Amino acid sequence: VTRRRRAAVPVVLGLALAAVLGPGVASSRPAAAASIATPVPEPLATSIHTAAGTWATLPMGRLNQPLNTFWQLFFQPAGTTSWSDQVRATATATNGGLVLASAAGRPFIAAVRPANLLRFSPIIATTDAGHSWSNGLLSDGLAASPSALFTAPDGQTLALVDKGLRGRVLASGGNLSAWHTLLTARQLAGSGPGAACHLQSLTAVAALSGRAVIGASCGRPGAVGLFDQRAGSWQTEPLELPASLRRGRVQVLTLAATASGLSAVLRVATPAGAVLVAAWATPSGQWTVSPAAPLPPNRHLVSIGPADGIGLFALSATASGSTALTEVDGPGAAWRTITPPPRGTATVAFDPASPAGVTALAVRGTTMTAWTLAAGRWDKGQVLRISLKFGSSS
Amino acid sequence: VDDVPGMGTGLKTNDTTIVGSFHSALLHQGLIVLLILAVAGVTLNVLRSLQFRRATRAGTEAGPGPARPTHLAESPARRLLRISFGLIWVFDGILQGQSSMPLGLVPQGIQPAASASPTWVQHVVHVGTTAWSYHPVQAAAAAVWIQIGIGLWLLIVPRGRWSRLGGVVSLGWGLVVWVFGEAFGGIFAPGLTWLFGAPGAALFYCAAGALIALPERAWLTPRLGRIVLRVMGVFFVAMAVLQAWPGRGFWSGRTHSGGSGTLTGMVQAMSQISQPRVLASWVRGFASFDAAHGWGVNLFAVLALALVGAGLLVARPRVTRVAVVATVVLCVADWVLVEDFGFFGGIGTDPNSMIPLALVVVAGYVALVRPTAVSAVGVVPIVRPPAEAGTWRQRLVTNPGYAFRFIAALAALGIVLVGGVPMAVAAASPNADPILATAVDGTPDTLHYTAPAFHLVDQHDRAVSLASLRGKTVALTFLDPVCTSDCPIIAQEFRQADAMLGADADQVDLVAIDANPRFTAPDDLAAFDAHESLTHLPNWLYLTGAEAQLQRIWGDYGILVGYASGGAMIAHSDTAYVINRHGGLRYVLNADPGSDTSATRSSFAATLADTITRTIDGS
Repeated sequence: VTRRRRAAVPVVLGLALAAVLGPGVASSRPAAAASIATPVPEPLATSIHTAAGTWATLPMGRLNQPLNTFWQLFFQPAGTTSWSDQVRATATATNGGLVLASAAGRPFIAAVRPANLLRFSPIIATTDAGHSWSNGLLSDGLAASPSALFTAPDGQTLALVDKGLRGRVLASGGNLSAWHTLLTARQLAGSGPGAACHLQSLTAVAALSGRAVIGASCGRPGAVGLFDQRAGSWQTEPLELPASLRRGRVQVLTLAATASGLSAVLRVATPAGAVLVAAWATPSGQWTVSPAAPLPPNRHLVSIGPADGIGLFALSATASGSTALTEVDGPGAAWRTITPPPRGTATVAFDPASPAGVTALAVRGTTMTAWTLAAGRWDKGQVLRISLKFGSSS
Repeated sequence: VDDVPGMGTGLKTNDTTIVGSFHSALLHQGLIVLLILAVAGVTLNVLRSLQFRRATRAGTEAGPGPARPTHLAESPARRLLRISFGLIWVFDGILQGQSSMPLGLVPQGIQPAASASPTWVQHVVHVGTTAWSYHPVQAAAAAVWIQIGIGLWLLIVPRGRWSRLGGVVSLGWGLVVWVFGEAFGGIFAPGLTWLFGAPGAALFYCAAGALIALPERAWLTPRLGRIVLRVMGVFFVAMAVLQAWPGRGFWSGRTHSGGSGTLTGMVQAMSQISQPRVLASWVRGFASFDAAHGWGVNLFAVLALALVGAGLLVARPRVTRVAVVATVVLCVADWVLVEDFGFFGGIGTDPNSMIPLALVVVAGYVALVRPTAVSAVGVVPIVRPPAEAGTWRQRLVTNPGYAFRFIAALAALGIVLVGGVPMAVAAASPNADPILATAVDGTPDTLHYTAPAFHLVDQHDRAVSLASLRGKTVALTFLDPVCTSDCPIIAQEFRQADAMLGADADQVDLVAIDANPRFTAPDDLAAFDAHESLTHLPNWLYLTGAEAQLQRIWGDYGILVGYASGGAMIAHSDTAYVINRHGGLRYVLNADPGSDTSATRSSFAATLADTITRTIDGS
C-alpha cells in the first residue's frame, strides 16, 4: 500500500501542475460581451453645406491600416457638380480624421484629429472657398466625433477634446489658437444633471441661441445626455423619448445647427436592439423627436449628416459592404429609406442647391467616385484618383 | 516633394553596416579564440614537459605515463549528457552566427514569443531585449562565443570539478536564454503546449547543466536516474492534462468560423518559414491532416503523453524501457512534423525542445540501468587517488589529467569571456551603440563653411539670430510642429543628446527651425514643445518666422520642404547641423530616425552628443 501511495504522488503532482497551469493557459477564451452601455464609435465621415459649396470628408487608402488611411477634404463649389480635394491645406497627416464645422457668415473650419505621434489638433479655416487658408490649433486632441467642433454665427467656436471622463469642452471667441475650458466631463458628471444621467463621456458640442449645448453618452437607461448652460449652471435639455425607448441607453451622436434651431441624432440601445432617433430643437428650447429607425446589429454607421436644410441622413453598411441610406426630412417626419448607394459609399451630400441633388461619394482604395441619384438610380459621375503616399506616416 | 530624401528610411535585418560589423567582430574575436587555443596548447605542452622532468627526477622511468586506474571514470549517463549537450551548445553557437541575428532576433524571434505572455513577463524580457537592441553586434557575437565556449567546455573536460563547473556555466547561461530569450519558455502564456516546445528548450539545457554539475558520486547509484525519470514522468502527465484541457482550441483542427485550430495554425505558421521545400511539404501535410482530424490528433497526443508519463513513473524496467523508446519516437516525430526542426529561417537559435528533452530522458534511463562508475579497467572503489591531493598548483605539475582539464576549462572560459566581456562592457553604458545611427543615417560629414545667417523669433516670440548665439555651439535641425512621425522623435533625440552632454550642455544651444510653411505661429511651436516636454529645457530654441523668411533659410541650409499629396504630412529633409561657437558649420548629420526604437533614438542621440563634443573641443 505504501509503495502504491508513493507511486501515486508524482501523478498527483502532475495533475496539480496541470490544474495550476490550465486555467491560466485557458485565458484565451473570448472575453464577456461588451456592455451595452459602452459608447459606440461615431462615424467621422460626413458632409456639410455652406454658401460657397459643399464640403465632405471621408477616409481613403488602406482602410484596415490606420497609418495608411488618409482622410480627404473634398469640396464642391455651389452650383457645380465637380469635386476637388482640398486636403493639402491641412499641411499635416490626416490619418486620425477630420472634423468639419461652419456657420453662416463664418469661416469654414476643418480640424485634424491627432494620429501617430501628433498629440494635438491643428485647425485650418477658409472664408473664400478654399482659395486661402488661415490656421489655429487646439492644444489637445480633438475627440473622435463628427460633432466635436462647432462654430456659431456669432463667432463662438466650441471644441470637444480628449475622451471619456477626461473629455473637456473648449471655447474660443474667434481666434482659433486661443481657447479656454468651458466645461470638463468630470465637472458635468459631478453635477446633478450629469449624475442623474450616469455620464460616461461627452460626445458632441453645439450652441443654441448663444448657449452651449453638450451631447453625451449616458449610462442610465432612458436618460438623454443633452445639457445646456442656463443661469450659470448646467441643465438637462427637456427632450423626452417615446415610452418604448425609455429602457434604452442613449448616446448623442451628432448635434448640428439648422435654419430653425438645432438638430441631434441619438443612438438608443434597447434590449430589443439599437435604433436611431432624430430630434430638433427650436430656439426656445422645445424638442421634437422623430420615430425610431432600427439599426440592425449586422450594420454599422458609416456617416451621419445634414440633409436638405433641416433634415438628417444616416448611412450604414454591413461588414460585406452592402449599404443602406435613410433620411428624415425634419420635425414631424418619419425616416424614409432611399435607394441603397453603391458599395463603398463613405458619405452622402444632400444639397438642394446643387444641380446633382443627392451625391454619394464612394471610395475604393485611392479612387473616389461621385454617384448622383436620379429617378431612383445611382448614376456614376466624376472619378477622382488621389495620390496617397503609403508608409509616409510610419 | 513626395520623395524627400532622408525621411522614412528603415533598418532592415540584413543591413550591411550592422552585418559587416558583426562579421568583423566575429573575425576579430575568432582570432583571439585561436590565440587562446594556441596558448592553451603551448601551456599544456610546457606542463607535460614539467611533469615528465619531475617524474624523471623522481626516478619514474615511464614519466607521467597513462592515467592510472585509480580514479572514478565518468558514468555513461553523464557522458551522454555532457557530449550531446556540448554538441548542441556548439551548434547553437554556430546558429547565432547567422547574419540576421543582430537586428532580427529581438523583433522576429524574442518579442513575438513574449507577446502572448503577461505584462510582467514582457517587462522582464524587455530588460534583455533592450540590452540586445542597444548593442546588437556585441550581443550577437557574445551569444556565439559564449555558447561555443560552453559547448567546448562540456566536450573536452570530461570529469572533475572543472567539468562540473562547465555544467554550472551551462545551467547559468541556459537560465539567461530561458528567461530573456524564451520568455520563460512561454509557460505563463496562453496556448502552452508540449507539442510546441513548452516549457522551453533552454530549460532542458538547464536540467542537463544541473545534472552535469552534480558531484560524481551522485551517478554511482540508480537513484539519480530514477529521480530524473520520475520528474519527467510527472512532466509528461501534466502536459497530457494540459493538452486535454477543454477550450484551448486543440480538440479541433478548424474553428467554427472556418479558421485554423490552435495546433493547425501553429504548424501552418511554421511551414511558412524559409526551409528546404521537402521539409515544408511535410509540415504542411501534417497541418492539413490536423485540420481534417484535429480531434483524433489531439486524442493521440493526450494518450501518448499520458502513457509515456505513466510509463516513466512505473518502477518496472521493461515498462520504463518501452516508455523511454516511446518518448524518443514521440519527440522525434514532433520535432520533424510540428517544431519543424526549429533552426531554419535565419533566426533559428537552436533545434528546439524535443532533442534536449529526449536526451535528458535517455540519460535518466542510462543512469538508472548503468549507474556504476567504471574506470578503464573495470569497477573501482571510490577512493581519491593520491595524486589528486595537494594544491591545484601541485596537481598541475604532477597529474597530467588534471592539467589537461584545468587548461581546457580555462581555454573554454576564455572563449566564453571573449564574447561576454565586450558585451558586459557595452551593456554598462546606458547609451545605445552609435553603429545603429550609422546604419540608418551614415556617419556625420565634416563641413568647413560659415553657417548661413538667420533672424527669426522663438517659441516665446522673442527675436533670435544666429549671431546672437555666438559663443555657444549650436545643434540645429528643422522640425514641423504638426508632424506626426519623424519630428517628435528627432526632438526627443536632441533632448537625450542634451542629457548625455552633462555639464557641456551649458555650452550648447539646441535649435530647431520650423519646417512647415503653414503652421508658423509661435503658438504652434509652443504646443509642440509642450507635448514633447521641451518647454522647460533651458537651452532649447524653436524658431519661426514668415513663410518667405523660412523659405530662404531652408534653401540656405539645403532643406527641402513641400506639401505632400493626399493627406500626408509636410515632407521635409531630416537633417541636423552642428555649428561651432564662432558660427562655423562643422558637421552635418542625416537625422532620419529610421524605424524609431528606443535603441535607434539613443544611438542617434549618442552620435549627436559625440559630434557636439568634438565641435566644442575643436572650436
